[in-house]
Amino acid sequence: MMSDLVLKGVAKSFGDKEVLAPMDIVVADGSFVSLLGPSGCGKTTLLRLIAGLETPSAGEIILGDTVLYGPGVNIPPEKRHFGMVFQSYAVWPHMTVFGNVEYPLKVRGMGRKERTERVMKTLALMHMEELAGRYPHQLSGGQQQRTALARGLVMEPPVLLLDEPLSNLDARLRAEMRREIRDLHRALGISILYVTHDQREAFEMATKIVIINEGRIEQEGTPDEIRRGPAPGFVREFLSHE
Amino acid sequence: MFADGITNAAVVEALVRSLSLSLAVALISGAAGCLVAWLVTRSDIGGGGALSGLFSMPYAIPAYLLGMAWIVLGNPAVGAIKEIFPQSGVYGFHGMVLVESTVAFAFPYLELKAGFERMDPSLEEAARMSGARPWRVFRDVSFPLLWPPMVNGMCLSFLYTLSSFGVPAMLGMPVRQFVLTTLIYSQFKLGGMSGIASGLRLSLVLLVLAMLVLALSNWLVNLQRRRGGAIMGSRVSRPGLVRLGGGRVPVTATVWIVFAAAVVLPWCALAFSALAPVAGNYSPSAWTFRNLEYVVNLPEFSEALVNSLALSISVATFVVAAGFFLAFAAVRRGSRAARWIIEAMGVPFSTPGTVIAILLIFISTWVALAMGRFGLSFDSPLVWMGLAYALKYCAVGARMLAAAYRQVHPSLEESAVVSGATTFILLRTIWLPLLSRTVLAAWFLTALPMFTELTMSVLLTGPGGATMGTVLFQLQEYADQPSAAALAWILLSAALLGAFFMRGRKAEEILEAK
Ligand SMILES: Nc1ncnc2c1ncn2[C@@H]1O[C@H](COP(=O)(O)OP(=O)(O)OP(=O)(O)O)[C@@H](O)[C@H]1O
Ligand SMILES: [Mg+2]
Repeated sequence: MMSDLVLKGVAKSFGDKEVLAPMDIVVADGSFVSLLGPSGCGKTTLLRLIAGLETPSAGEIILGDTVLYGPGVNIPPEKRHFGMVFQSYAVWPHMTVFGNVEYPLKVRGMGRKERTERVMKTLALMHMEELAGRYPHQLSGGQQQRTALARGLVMEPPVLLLDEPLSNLDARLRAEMRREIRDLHRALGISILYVTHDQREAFEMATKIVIINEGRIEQEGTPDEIRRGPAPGFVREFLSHE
Repeated sequence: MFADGITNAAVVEALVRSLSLSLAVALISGAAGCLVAWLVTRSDIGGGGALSGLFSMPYAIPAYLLGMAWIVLGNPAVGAIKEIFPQSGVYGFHGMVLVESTVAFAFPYLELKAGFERMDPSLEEAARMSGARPWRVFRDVSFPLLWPPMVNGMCLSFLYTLSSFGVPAMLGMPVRQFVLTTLIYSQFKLGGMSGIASGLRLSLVLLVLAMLVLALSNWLVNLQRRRGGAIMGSRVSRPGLVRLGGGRVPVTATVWIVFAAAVVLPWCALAFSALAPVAGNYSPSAWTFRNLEYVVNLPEFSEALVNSLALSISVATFVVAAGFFLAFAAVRRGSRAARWIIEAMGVPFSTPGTVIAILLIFISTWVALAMGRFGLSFDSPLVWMGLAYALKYCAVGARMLAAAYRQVHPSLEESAVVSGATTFILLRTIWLPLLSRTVLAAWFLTALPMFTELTMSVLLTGPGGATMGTVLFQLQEYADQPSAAALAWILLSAALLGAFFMRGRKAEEILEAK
């Protein structure tokens, strides 16, 4: 199954303020693409356009051979089948860990037995089986993050969208989670689009990095390509800060 | 048991009617408030930003003015659109539900709007990304997280309706449908000590009911506060608006039409009626200013204008000034006494106006007797009205200002203290300019309802004590519809202007005041 995620000339303005200039991005099937850029450059906006939570002002968004957004087409977010992890985790406080992870399967009408199996399998992947019965307020930040990840992964989406998922964790936990997310990507073979302003995360995990500044793509390439030949100007400047 | 002129059956009937009316209004305004709050905060409805402010306006409109307007529209004999009503026209239970719901709508609406605005939108977006359609998101996520403010809004609606007097008096009494407040009024009108006594006993029933609902409401507020942290956005993220798609145009049109029917239509009805030569003849060619002139030239009108202006301006100024100092002492100086006083102000605020008035009448009778023994007489309804207004509304100013003091960073004040300012100079040169907008808002939010106050005034009034509310009530009781409509039109225009001016205030601030 080929399910490349392709953006063609996608742009976004809020009122008359252009937040994203028309841009082309390809997330090849099974790749790990990181959108890297400073705060306010439009990373979250781009991710939300792909998710369907915002409507582009122009362009096309295509997944495999399905047009998600284009002339006369605008598929609502619940039918795009992406998994998504929000910066604030957005774990539902009135459901247990199990309930949170089970929800996407329940909404899609999967039977109880199969659901339980899938949820426990996904929780095992995140080392969270023992915590299945807990409520979010009984969890640490890292555990909440894993719950959100499990919820995003449980329906085995073609693409997982992540918005700065580690920015609320402490440094040690961040390092641990970087490793885990990379391992997950390898083990599951899904595509990942990962938004961050932390170059370390991008360079350590991604197979392709897209550097964005003020709503424009400054450079894209593999971590090696960018490390070896950073574009002069913004990229060089940005990468020189730790 | 209750008194000479009143049977137990009548009391039970009024009690049942009060409860069922309040419940019906709570349910209707709750459902409507919930729907509109969701539409303006979460969907791409047309003109959502404007609607969001406009829909908070009804809270500032005295319901009895809308009642007056609906009499113009639905009077069984000459109503402009009497055809849409049953035989009795707008009079009766259905009419009371209709008019009270229009105003009470604001409580669940504002509560829930604030809830949606404070909640982290990613919680709902995560459900959509999980495959849930908007309705399912509401059922599985928004409602389970936001039911306390929603039910609390309905409690406030219930309390409001239970305490209201004007609408049941205008739309219920003419067809002999009494609720508790109007039964108390009619008992009191019988006069004498026995009237006051049975009014007092009925007031006690009303007070107990009100306090029960209030206790439930407080419990809900605390529940939501405890849960708050879990559902509040850590950083402000803007929600992606749910696309209504093909339903967008009809939904937008419906919501705007409902707003027009709730607020604009009554205003027009009063205008037409005020300009019509006789009730029922609304053709523009016959328009005349006679009614307006007649009302303005009534001796009671000038008396009422002077009284209402004097009372609302002086009492609002006093109440806000007191709130300014008390809130300073409570918040910035940590005074236990001040905090306790502000807390205590909540009691008269939630007590039905009818109960406050009856208690004051009882006290005033007692004072008059005591003074009579020394050959003195003290008989000024204005003083008692002023006291009643102050009691009823003192919580508004103090609470709004306390919230405002809390929001200012301590360092601002500390720098002034370091430079040697005394408390008085501090208040005048730092706090008053800093809080001037809140002070002004609090002043308007207390002065406006006082200017048109009816519930307490109608009981406390006496010779020389006419107010805008009592004059209108009298004209309406004499069945002088064109004159009553003319006066109601003037008052509604003033109230709408005030509400429009205040609509920009954040929903939370308005709630704080309510
Ligand atoms: N709904 C909106 N209406 C108007 N402007 C918006 C809206 N959402 C985002 N913006 C603006 O678009 C720009 C990009 O925002 P975005 O959230 O995409 O940045 P970001 O790269 O994710 O930043 P951060 O790293 O801080 O999360 C910002 O200037 C922001 O103010
Ligand atoms: Mg962002």
